[in-house]
Amino acid sequence: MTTRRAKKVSFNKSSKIVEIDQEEDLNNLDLEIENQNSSRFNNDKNNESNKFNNDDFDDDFDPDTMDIDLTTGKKRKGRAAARADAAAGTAETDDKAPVEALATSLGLIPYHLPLLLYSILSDGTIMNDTAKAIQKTFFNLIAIALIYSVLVGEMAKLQRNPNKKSSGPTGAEFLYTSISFPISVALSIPIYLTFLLFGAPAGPLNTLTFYLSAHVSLISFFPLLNVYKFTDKNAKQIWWKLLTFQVPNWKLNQIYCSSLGGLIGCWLGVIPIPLDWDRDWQDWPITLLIGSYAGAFVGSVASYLYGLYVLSKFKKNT
Amino acid sequence: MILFAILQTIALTFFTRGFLLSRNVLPDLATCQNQQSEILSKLGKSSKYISNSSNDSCFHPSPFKKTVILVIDALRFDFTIPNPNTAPYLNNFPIFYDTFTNNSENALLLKFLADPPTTTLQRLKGLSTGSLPTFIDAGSNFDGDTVWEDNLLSQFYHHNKSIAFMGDDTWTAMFSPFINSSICYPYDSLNVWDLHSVDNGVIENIFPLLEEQESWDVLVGHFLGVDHCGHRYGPDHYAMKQKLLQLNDIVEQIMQKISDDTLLIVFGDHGMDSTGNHGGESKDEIEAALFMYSKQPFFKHFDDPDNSIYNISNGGENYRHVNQIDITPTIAMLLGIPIPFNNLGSPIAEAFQGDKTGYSIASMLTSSQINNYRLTSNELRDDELLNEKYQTIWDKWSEEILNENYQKIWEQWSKIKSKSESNSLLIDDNYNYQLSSLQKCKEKWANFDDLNIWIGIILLFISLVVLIIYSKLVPSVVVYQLNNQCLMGSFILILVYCALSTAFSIVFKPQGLTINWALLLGVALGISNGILAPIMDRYSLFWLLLQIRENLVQNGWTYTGMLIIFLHSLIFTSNSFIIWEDKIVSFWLTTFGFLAFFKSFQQKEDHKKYLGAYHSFMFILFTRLTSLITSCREEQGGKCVSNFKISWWSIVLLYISAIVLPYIIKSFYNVSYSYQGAASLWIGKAFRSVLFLIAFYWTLEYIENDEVITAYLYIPFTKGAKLTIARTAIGISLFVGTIGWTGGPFCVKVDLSETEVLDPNPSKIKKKSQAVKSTEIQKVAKILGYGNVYGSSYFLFFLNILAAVMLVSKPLGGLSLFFLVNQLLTLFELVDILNIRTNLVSVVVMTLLGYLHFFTTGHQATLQSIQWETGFMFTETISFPFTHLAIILNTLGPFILIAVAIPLLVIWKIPPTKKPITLCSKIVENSMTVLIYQTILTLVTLVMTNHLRRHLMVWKIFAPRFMLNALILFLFNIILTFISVGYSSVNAVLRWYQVFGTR
Repeated sequence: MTTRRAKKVSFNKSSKIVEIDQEEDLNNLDLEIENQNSSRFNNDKNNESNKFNNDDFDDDFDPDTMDIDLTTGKKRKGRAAARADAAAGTAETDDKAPVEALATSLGLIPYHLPLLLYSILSDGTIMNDTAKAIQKTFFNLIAIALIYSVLVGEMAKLQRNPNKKSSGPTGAEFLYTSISFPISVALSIPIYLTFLLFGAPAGPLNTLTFYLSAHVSLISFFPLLNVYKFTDKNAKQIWWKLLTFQVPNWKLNQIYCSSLGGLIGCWLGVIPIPLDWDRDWQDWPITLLIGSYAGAFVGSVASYLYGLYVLSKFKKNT
Repeated sequence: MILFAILQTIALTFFTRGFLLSRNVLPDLATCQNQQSEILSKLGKSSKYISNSSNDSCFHPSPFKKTVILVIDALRFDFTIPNPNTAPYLNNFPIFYDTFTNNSENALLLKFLADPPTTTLQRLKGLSTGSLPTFIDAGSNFDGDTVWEDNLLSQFYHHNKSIAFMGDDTWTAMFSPFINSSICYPYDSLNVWDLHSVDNGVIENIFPLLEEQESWDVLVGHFLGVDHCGHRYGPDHYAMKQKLLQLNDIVEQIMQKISDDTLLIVFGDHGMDSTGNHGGESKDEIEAALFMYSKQPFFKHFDDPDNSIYNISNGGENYRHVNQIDITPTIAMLLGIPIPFNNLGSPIAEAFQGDKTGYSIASMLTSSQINNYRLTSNELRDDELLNEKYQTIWDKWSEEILNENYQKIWEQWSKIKSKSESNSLLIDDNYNYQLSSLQKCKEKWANFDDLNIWIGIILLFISLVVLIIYSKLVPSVVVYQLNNQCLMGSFILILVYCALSTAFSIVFKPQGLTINWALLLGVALGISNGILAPIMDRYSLFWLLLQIRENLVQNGWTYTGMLIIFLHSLIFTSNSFIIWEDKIVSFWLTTFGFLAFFKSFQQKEDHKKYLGAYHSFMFILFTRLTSLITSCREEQGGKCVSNFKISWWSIVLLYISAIVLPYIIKSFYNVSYSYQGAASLWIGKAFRSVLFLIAFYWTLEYIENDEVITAYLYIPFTKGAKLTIARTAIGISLFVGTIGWTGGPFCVKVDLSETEVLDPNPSKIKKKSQAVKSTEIQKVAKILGYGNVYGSSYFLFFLNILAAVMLVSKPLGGLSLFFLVNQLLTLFELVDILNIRTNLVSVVVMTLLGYLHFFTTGHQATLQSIQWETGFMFTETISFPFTHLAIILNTLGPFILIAVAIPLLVIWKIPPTKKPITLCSKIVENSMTVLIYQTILTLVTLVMTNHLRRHLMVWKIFAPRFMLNALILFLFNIILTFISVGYSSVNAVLRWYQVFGTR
């Protein structure tokens, strides 16, 4: 318990730093700032800042600048353009809705996922009757995901108002969960379409694909829905950022990492399918299911460990 | 760049030479004396089996004076046996099995297992020499050389037998010195669209010859109809039924016509797979039928009470089979000529069992011949185990002969055989010996030349390193100054290295590296050193290492590109991934689209956000739609359903795409107001009409082949019309188009805002072109399409090539190319929006698009999937440039298009610049990146193919993939160097200055 609180404090401090930084330095884009901020923590300048590094494309094309880009390997940033942008107020809209992250904690790790995964695999029915097994685990997942999401929601509440002692979820919150649940189930439809676009077999395996997308949506989106509630003020902007991967400090955002992990795991899950080992578990969509379960868990754990790392750095510096 | 092309070609040649080793051919000819003297002398003088020089026969009195050998190309075994199922290819060739069961003493039907590669030339070689042709020969199917190795036909010739021949002209290419030229009727073999002319030619000529039996001793007929029918329609087609029925009839007639001392042999040289193609080693491809018939009772089958030997259930799955080369000693001995010197086959038991001692002698003779061959051959001589084996056989044989109980040998053996007990009797020993020597040879000839392989791999690796240094690490400005130095340095160093390596090869005489090859090696080393020398002169190694970190990585996209390259290389480590490469490639492309979709939301301007998202969504959608077109390879099995056929709906879709495509291109042009000037003529009229011509061509093709339509309607002119259309279309697209394009179309329009008149005089425009200045005339000149000057005009050139490739692609392939254009255009927009013009990822995605469309235009990385029939679009017979051009355009079309489109990545949607050189250097850099990508892939295939060379699937999966990669690399080198960079992009970029002048 003590460790968790310590971390929370650390993060609260860090987020304050973010705000200060933003006030001081308005010349740069706000995304940049936040990344600089994170890089201040982790001394890891290259990857992230470059990732969010968008270059303006001027209509006056000049191959010379292109050339410089290449030889130095870095995009030259038109300072003037950035200033103009800042003045135009694109940065301000971002300020309004910062995506707050929950402090990383052991409690946020979705322990139920590996357990469920184990129960699926040890059972063995998934190899014989995939549809039935996947349906059964889906119902198990629903039950546990509901509990998990309520817990996560509680934690979010606790962290936003650290002074107020919560006496458990209120009725409204239960109502919210019961509404967000069908929403995340409905989210499985776009996920299903995405699967189809990625080359999922259309036809006889449709039901399986749909169950898979329902699983993925419960793993990846349901917890997010409970942290970043759509009833919040800035829900629209926040979700926009979440969906377009414009989350600053995403490495510290455990829930978000877990969702991303679920999706990436699912992506990686296709790898064993073409192999000619003739194993039962190579059937569609078992590997993807395993991938998303494992990915979500690994993502969450990785984010937690990263949080510990940042904390130790932070302590050293202060 | 030319230097790179040469360097890589040399590297590939070395590897190919090492990997695809050909067999050592022994020139010795077998003669009667050396073959039988030893064995038959033991028989004693009283024996009736000994031959003497007055007798013209080698073996014991040969039962047959004449033989008729009919080859029915691609006659699969299950075509010839009764089958409860119904299909056009089943139960339409009953004559073999009927004769076999009704007159069992006169006829013999066996399953005939061909050795891969199952191509006709290789099979004929194998059949006639009794040995195993190696893989490299497969490529020479089109210019079959004369077989000088000892073979059946040369033996016939040397024993004064006159050979008559009619049918497939592969035979005349291989055996023309031996065939009696007055009775030789060859027909063109490779026109697979022509089912009947070869067969009719054979039929026309064979019956007169059967009437006058004196003029020939050996009659060879080669029917191609079944094979062509398979290639063109697949086995499951009504044409196959007609063909089989026709041949059934012919064979029946021939059986009646032959004389009593004639042996009739009918066989298929290979089978065909379910799509009608062949070349690989699947069960369907290697199983052919062998049928022997004589009017006098001669054959004796094995006792088969429980129907286990000649078992026709399950399509003859467990039917007794013999190897294809087994026919060689059999024919030789039945006709009394020596067994060809290089033979490795064993005699077919049924053909010799009629005579009680025949089989034991035949089998001993064969063993002795094989032994003789092995002892002559350097590489086979030292196998002690086999030599010992032969020694025991020999001892046993001598013993038995002395006891004069060789009759008993056979009696015992046949008894035991029917009880299927294990025994170590002489005949089995012989058979074992023959089999194991065959086995040994198979292993031996899959031997590789390590030295050449490693030279190839290392050279390719060097070329990769040099490429990376040259194109990525050294600043492109410097490269231009260095170019001349590099060229000079290379020339000088080539001479130096050539001298060195020649000296080396003369002094040390290393094995497997003759002077010519040493010279090539010298050239390769000279080039790589020559390029590196000026670079190393300026920069230190350490500096270059630092540059790697800085230059190679630009941002997250570069990582994505690297990840894809990395994964794509990993593919070649596993046969299953290579098999499913088509799906994997489309998965990656979708991933790119997906990332681009989210990435575009990070743009700052709203319209860019949504445009980017829209384009990436369309990109994904097109990719998905394209990947719906499937043409499966055989290993993909039941999980893949081919839909790559010419069907009515594909024709309809082709028409639709002909209507829609110009509109789509127009709308993309309109984004930058470039649909001006030449564009409307080019795209709206010329391109569209060519597209309609193409669609019409395939409609005719469809009509001509459709069962229902041809039944009611006979259109006589389709053939001529098709040729005319194809020639017109290719003429317009390649020749007229290119000439027109060189003349210089611009997609700009000069609008004078007051007078609204197009000013034809360029000298006036020159002054006003760069800016909207008002001069003393008070007119404002506005150039429409200014924002995309280069791209729009270059794209017209791309369209020329596109039309040519579309013409030779089958309808669904055309559809796939239609999607390719859309994908490319959306990709260019995306690249523009995301600003990843020279980024690694955009080039990688382009190349992946090439791969995707290679697969969706009905190809796979196998020899069987080459669509040979497209070679006959422009000409009826094989004529050098056109047939080859069509096949290359068909097979590698998507890669050609991609290579041509690479410069567009840089020049799409940019206004004119003041420095064309920088622009050109960008283009060169992107082209180099393509080469780097493909070199990495090829390098990995080389290494993996070499590493897995004992893998079960080497010849089926890895080796064809390696050949494809090597071909693509070669092609990219050529196209990028000479066309994209050397000709068209320079042309497009510099044209602006010629017309409008520099400032």
